[in-house]
Amino acid sequence: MKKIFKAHPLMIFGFLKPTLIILFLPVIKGVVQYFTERNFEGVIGFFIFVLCAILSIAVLRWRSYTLICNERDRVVTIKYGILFKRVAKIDIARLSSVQTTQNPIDYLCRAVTFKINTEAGVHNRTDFEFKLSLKNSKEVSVLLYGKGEPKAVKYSVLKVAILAATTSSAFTGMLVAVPLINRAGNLLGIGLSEMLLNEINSLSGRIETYFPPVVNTVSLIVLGAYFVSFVYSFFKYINFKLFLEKDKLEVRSGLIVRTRTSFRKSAINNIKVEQTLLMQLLRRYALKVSVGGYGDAKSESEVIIPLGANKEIKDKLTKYFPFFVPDEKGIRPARNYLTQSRYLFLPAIYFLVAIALSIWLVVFFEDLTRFILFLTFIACSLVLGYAYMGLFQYKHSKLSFGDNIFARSNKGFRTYELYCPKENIGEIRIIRFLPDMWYKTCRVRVLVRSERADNIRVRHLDYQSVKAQIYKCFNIE
Amino acid sequence: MERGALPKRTLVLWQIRVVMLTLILVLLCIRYNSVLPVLNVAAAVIGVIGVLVAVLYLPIFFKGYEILFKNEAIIINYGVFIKFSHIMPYTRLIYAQSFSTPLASIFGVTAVSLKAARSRVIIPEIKILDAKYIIDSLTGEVDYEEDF
Repeated sequence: MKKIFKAHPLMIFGFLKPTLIILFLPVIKGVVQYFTERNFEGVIGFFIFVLCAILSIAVLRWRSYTLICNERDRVVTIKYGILFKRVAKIDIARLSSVQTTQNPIDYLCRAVTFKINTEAGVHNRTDFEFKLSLKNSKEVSVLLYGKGEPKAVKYSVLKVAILAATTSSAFTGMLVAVPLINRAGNLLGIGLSEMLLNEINSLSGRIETYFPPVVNTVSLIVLGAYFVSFVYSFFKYINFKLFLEKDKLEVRSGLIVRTRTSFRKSAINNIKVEQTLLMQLLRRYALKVSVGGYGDAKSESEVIIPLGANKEIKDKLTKYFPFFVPDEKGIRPARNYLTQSRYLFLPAIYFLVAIALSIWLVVFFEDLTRFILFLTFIACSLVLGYAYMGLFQYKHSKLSFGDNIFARSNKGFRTYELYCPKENIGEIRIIRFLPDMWYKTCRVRVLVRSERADNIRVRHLDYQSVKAQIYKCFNIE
Repeated sequence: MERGALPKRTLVLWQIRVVMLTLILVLLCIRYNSVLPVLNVAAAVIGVIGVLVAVLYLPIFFKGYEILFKNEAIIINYGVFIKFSHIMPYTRLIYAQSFSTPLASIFGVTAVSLKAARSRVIIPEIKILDAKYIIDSLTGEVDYEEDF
């Protein structure tokens, strides 16, 4: 049985948006004509003609979108295009995820933006995106994933706030804020970024610290960017709910723009348990799943448990995804003084270099002493963080090969655990430097076979044990 | 195992495309040769290349184009100076998509794109019915009565 769904008329406005600039052509014509001939003759007619043309194209494009669900053969067909016609057929089992977002305008019109994602297509771009009425979107979801009785798991605002605070960064804040400020400045026709910078400069001049004003300015920018990132993350994850079914997961979040993402458990490539530096202080973890072709969200990770203690995360992992739990005893770095020193060797070198460099700079640039001191403080903090992560690796890093592969290590200043079935492993790299050959150890990088290619590196493991486990796991003679 | 080749009308379609593109480029060169005299030479070179591609290269290319449907994979062999062979196992196929331009629609042909994670194989324009058959057999849908 086939069911045919047409796109929601709100899509016309979506198509009109980028073409509205063409409407300025008659306005420009009118202005030029007024100055040269002192009349507006023909301008209104031209305006109406252009408006009708872009409106007709938008309507035709909207009408061309058709979604056909074939229940019997489990195939979805998507048709679109006026002159350049496209027909795509996707086996439902091959869908990675289906995402619906609803902004306030969608909400008023009872519509949603419906995004269909697969592992094919362009990276970081949704494969198929169109507007559907709310009723149709629910019907399509039932046709794609069946009608189950989901068990809802809610997470409190406090947990979401802590997740936002612990995962936010000044860098993300800048990525969000800079284009926004530029666009707002262009729209208002004022130099908004210059105004903001001047304001920050004057504010930093009023703060009296040991460090020079430039340090205060930079600190204020970083703090501001972090705050923007926090607000962005908070509104992204607020109202976080997880709906669990036997084979399907649905994640809902957002307050102003509501997002709903559905995917089969079988579409999950790997699971990650992450802990940022701030989370380490609170002894909390976040559980994420990596789904192939996860659209334009700039990543294919979906948060499943925003924040939880180690035991809670492990319990839920076993409960929700028992087929990801490792079944083999892992390999750890040798517990001795030599291995520990190998983890701390590079941080020690970096620390000495930072101190030596700062002394040299102070001697040669006496006027910049306070600024150099600030830079040294930052450099030393980073090196100490690096040393701490080295110690974490020494104490906790682990790698196990079985039907499911498990690895624990760090990525930058985050602790990181990767769970992945052996079928999803794309590549295992064993790297041995001269000291590794001397001490009969190796570093192993495990890469997941997915669009995102999640990977993890575990250092200073016994070479023979790693080789034996890999050969056993993949039946290599 | 099934073997497929491209229809003759695909060759004609591509010859028309190449001739049209060559004509546009040659006309543009002639139009602006007063600004840059070297454009006269460019027009001649483009014209010769266009004719050679349309008359010699395309017929050889399309004659050598081969689509093989094996039990486990689809294999596409093509190339004139350099031979290419694309092998896509059916298990890696995510979805199939047909694509037709207004000119291709007039000729009753459509191109097919087979998409896998991080890769795709494009089959140049084939008859609409053949495209329908290929897509249906790859995606597992039968009795597909919708019009393309």
